[in-house]
Amino acid sequence: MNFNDTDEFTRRQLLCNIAKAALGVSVAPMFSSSLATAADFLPNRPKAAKSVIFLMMSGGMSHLDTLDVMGKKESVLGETKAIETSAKGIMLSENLPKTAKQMQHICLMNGMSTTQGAHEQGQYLMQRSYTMRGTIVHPALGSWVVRLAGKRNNNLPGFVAVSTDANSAAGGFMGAKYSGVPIGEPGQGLQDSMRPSSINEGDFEKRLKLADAMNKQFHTQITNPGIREHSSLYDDALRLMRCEDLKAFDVKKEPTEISEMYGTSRFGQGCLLARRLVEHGVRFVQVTLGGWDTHYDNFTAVPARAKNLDDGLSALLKDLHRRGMLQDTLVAVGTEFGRTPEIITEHQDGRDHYPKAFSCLIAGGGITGGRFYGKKDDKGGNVVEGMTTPMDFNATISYALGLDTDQVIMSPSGRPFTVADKGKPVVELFS
Amino acid sequence: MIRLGIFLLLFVPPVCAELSFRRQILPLLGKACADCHKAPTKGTDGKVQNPKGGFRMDAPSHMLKGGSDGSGVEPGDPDKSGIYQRIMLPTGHEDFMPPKGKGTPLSFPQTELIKQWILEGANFGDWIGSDIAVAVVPKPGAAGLRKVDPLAAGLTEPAPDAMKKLGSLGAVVYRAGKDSKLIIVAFVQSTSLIGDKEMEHLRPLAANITELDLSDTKITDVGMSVVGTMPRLTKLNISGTAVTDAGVAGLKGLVNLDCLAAHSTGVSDAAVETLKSMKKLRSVFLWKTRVTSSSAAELQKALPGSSVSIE
Ligand code: HEC
Repeated sequence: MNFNDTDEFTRRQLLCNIAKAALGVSVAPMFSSSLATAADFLPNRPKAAKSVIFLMMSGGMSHLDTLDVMGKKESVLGETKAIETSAKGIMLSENLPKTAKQMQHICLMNGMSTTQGAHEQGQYLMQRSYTMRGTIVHPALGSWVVRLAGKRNNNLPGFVAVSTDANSAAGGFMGAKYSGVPIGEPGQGLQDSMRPSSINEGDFEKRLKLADAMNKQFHTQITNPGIREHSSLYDDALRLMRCEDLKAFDVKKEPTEISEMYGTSRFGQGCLLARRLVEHGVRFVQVTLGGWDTHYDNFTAVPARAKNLDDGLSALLKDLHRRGMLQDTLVAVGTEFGRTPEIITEHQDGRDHYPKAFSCLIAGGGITGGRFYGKKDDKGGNVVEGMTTPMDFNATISYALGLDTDQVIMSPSGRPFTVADKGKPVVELFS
Repeated sequence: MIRLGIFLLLFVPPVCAELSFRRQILPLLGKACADCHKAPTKGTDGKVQNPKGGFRMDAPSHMLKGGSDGSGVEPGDPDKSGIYQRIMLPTGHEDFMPPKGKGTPLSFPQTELIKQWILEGANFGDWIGSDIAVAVVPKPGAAGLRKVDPLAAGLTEPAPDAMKKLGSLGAVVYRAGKDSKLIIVAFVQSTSLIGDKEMEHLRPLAANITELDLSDTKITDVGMSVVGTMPRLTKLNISGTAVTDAGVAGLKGLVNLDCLAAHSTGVSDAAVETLKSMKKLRSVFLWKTRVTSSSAAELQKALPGSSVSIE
């Protein structure tokens, strides 16, 4: 442990204690109002999308059992069958029957290819567009989006990460204020930020003042730039509690039939929460669905996972569309890599990691759906057309939002970075 | 059965096949124009052959720059694009391209294809021709943004004070793009505090507003009268408000309106009658309203190419 680590620990501890004492909030130092607002933003393209919902399939989603069954040999599909979709000429795996009915909104990204074959590195590249290094933490895509496009609602965080490991939503060198606000259980919303019922409002204000005084004292004693960032924690948390916008976090406000449409799984409810947040102006919501690492028994594990994805994704697309929000909301399904075309019989028909070729999808956000971009060979093992890297994928999302993909942000160490590194947006999706 | 489907699919072109410059436009121009409009070359006689009219078509940058007379390709605007103007002249005209007797004129489907490509923003895809640039994709938006600009013709700068005022009410207010005089206004935060009274603050900006989001605010038909004075409005969201048919009737003059989201409102079939006359409407969202499915179907018919959704 070096000095920085100790420093980090005491700072967190302190904030944690004060915040908990005052508010019952678990550490959430991200609601900084000092962020840029959307008013400073000049979109780079007309009718730019306003928000992103990024559904991250963590573990490495098997492309051959989900998004890329078209023209594939039976020997690589194994037990998985293809079904027709609402878009003429496009097929999906039978594991995604409800999504198939929303295909008119979707463009399959079947030319995906990455260089990273390990989970952590693969996810890092997918979510941050840079290769993992020991010396720097690159900001998550959500952090970039809030940094470049600003917040649309100052009463809410710009970036929320649902059921997502806090590390993968970290603002990296942009600092904590650009990190995704973590929501563990979507069904419970921001429960922690409600005033503990045992405290009446008068008491509560008093405790808050006390905490505030402690905090000011702390500031005069220690001048660590990291702390300044957190200085508006109380203001923000307080605003959050009183603000009507907070109801965005409460999925219990949804009518039963809508809630059921998304499925009762944590992921489904996360998708529902994502819709509510975007409706209230949150820029970027990531919802993670784990369990795709199907080395063993792929043909039992994938259908189970896919059911959660299918319920959540199809409901999300349908719901966003009928509200007229899908044009303004880009929905992306990403994963760190694919899985082998070879079915490994010694592992009860499992599939191993496969970075060379995989699949993602993009829907809404101004793209034309009912299509696919990129193509693999009939074994699903090589991209033969429309090769798309994680950087290209993220550049495409940035392009949809009208971000300037060339805008350089310097790290504190003085090095230049851009939102999708050298990724090129797939502009064809938008015509 | 399913396997057969898959087999056929191999012949479905991927999405990039739809108006790809490289595949659909370049071959046409290459055949009909390239010989006379390329980089200066030395002929067999040792003489330098300059591109005709100073106009080169061997790279996106040259095509966008145009020739000695001006325009080559004007993204979004075929009528201002030299290449389109000249292929559309009567074949006998002295400016017609390719010049009389120097090649086969392009056919109508071919000229339509070129027109469509320009209309779509003249995207060169990954073609860089003789450009030795690193970037293979045209700068996002550079072409696209000009498409909105005709709408901004004759427009003055949005009043800064009025923009500030809206900002103080919690609205997000920003320009539709770099150097654009069009603005986007969205009430997303604390929307219950926004009602008909606040709509008055939109008046000074009525000419500039091209997108307006009033969803979940407390506005009524009264406040909608202000919205009816926004000639450049292309996108309007009044979902979750108390607006009724009377409010929608006031939108009749919005000839540029392309998207209307009005789910969970008080509108009914009477509003559909108003919408039928708005020929630029392409997307209409009427879920959770009293609009019947037969009336929605009629609307879709009255507006060719549109999508009207009620569920
Ligand atoms: C046989 C040679 C020849 C061919 C083939 C030809 N051009 Fe030309 N082009 C000319 C000459 C000569 C001029 C200059 C005289 C003029 O302006 O009419 C010219 C001028 C132009 C200009 C105006 C440039 C400027 O700014 O002055 C445009 C635009 C143009 N051509 C487009 C085309 C297109 C599009 C094609 C293919 C459909 C084409 N040309 C094929 C010879 C050719």
